[in-house]
Amino acid sequence: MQATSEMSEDALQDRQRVLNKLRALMPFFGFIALVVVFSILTGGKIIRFRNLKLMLSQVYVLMIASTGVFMIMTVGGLDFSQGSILGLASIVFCWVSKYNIVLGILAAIVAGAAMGAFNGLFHVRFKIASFIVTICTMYLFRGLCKYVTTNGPVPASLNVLALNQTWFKVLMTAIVLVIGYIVIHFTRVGYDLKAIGAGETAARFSGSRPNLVKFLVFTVSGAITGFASFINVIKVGSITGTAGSMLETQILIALVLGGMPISGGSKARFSNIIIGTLTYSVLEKSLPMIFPVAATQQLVKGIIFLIVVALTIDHEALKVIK
Amino acid sequence: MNETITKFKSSKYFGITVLVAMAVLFWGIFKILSPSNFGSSKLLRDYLQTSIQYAVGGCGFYFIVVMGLFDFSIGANIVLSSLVGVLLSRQFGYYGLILGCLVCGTMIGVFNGFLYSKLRIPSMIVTVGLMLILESVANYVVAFDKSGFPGKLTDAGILAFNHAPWNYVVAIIAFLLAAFFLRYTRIGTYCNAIGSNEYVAKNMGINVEKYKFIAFVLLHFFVGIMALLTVSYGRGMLAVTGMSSMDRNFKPLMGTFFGVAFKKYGCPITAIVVGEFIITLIFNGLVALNIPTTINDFVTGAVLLIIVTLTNRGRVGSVVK
Repeated sequence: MQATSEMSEDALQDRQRVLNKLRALMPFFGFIALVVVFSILTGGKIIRFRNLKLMLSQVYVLMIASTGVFMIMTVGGLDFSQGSILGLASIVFCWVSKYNIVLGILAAIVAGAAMGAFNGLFHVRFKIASFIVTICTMYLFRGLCKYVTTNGPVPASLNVLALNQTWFKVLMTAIVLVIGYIVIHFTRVGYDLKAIGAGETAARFSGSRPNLVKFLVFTVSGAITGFASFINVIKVGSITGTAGSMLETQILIALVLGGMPISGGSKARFSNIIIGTLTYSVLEKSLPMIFPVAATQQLVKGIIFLIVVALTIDHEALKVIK
Repeated sequence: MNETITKFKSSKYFGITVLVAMAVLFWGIFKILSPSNFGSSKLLRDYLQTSIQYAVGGCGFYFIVVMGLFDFSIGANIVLSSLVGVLLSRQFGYYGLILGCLVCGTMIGVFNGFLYSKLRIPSMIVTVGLMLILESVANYVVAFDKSGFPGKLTDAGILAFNHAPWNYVVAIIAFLLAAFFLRYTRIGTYCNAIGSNEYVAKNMGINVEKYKFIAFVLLHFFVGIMALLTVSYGRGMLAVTGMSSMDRNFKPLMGTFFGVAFKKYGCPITAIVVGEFIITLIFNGLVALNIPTTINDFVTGAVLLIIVTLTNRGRVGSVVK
């Protein structure tokens, strides 16, 4: 009798394991399905080289910035100030690039890190929910960005435009992704991030330092977005007050489409960044080809977003749905 | 004596005193800095009229924010409900405008609440999708308007809500309703209980899903009222795409932060109303000082952060995500 019960328990666990693996693969299948469906609907237009190149040109900044937010979301936090950080860091890069481009990149990274640290400080030190802190700083940084550009856009050194090459942007994005992958998978930090996301109190008892890790995660995420601002500027050349506007929502949508659990924890996978940003990019690029009216594109995007999320979300990871 | 002071410090009168003192302080600062352009009795009335529309939305937001939920589709609801109101006003005048805004707003709340509870997706995620959908639906609604002035309230006969006394009447009814729901019905008690600890609330027998649904409906009902005031003040509404409606979420949210912060004194609705007034005072004070309006967002963020930091801290050692 006991043996039968153990067997059925084993069978249940196996079934659960298979289900979990399938669920983890769902965003990937969703991405493939979207590409196939949109390829058919556009008569193969979206998989032409020119369109793929265009699609990729929009994905670099999103993918780089998403790497930082991925870490924040893994610890269970949220960051709505990413667009504003990108805008302000881009301005810093533009200013300093006139003296030296490398110095400009460093300045943008430092500026991004400082803004991220500001978020982290308020979140950790004053125990304010990350989404509330970052909504406040979204306004704060955006306000600075708009104020600085009151009299017109801030131009970068003209030399940066020469860097607007596909190979260069691919290389930069790949470097960020590889470093991110190594940190998440092969260092203690990656383990800590998932442990804190899964259960902060338990993580603290097992030797992690949640407050320090969370502060660092916000700082590093800001630094990564600071670096993304460099890629942003080499594409656009000058920065207005609305630079990076809505980036935070795009990142959120992209990561969720990639299967990122909103509560973070052990089920966050690095592939969420790549699959998510590519899925978002396919949607952004393909919908105008099929539906010429902007409102229809957005309607379809919203419906697809909800369907994908409903199908891929891991309810077991969400003990309380907020 | 000490006991009396302690008792007073935790009473709603203390909360109201602090709020009024803050309003007076900001008024005083800007009045001193810009005596001729700021803070006359006429201007104060204008500031109040501006702030009440956001305060109405803030009252609605309170029901879900106090439970730890969020809704990104508020702005999209304001746009859509306003456009439905304008469209119906062409046929039915005031009845069309009022019912269009209120019924459309509430129906969106029912829809949001239903999807949130059935799909079991976090509110922050589900409402991003709904925001995209509602924004696009608003564009279809405005296409039905064949008046030649799509989305505009052209009939001067139905502009009563953009000035006193009817804007005050609408807002006061909304504030009283919100206070009534919070103070005299189970909804307010249960919303607070769920926000404090959802597990415990569930174990106490509270139907958490039901009350979250009700909170969404109430939120969007109040957003419908806000839409009525917003469309009247602006004499129309523009349909938007590309998530631009999100900006409309945050002004009501600021008032809600005041409400949450002063919840402990038992006067959240008063805090929302006075809080929105304080924020309007600050914006107008900056304008009076000839500071470029581009700095408004900075001030918004700074004020919000200060309020939240001073009043909304978690306990040491508590888990805050």
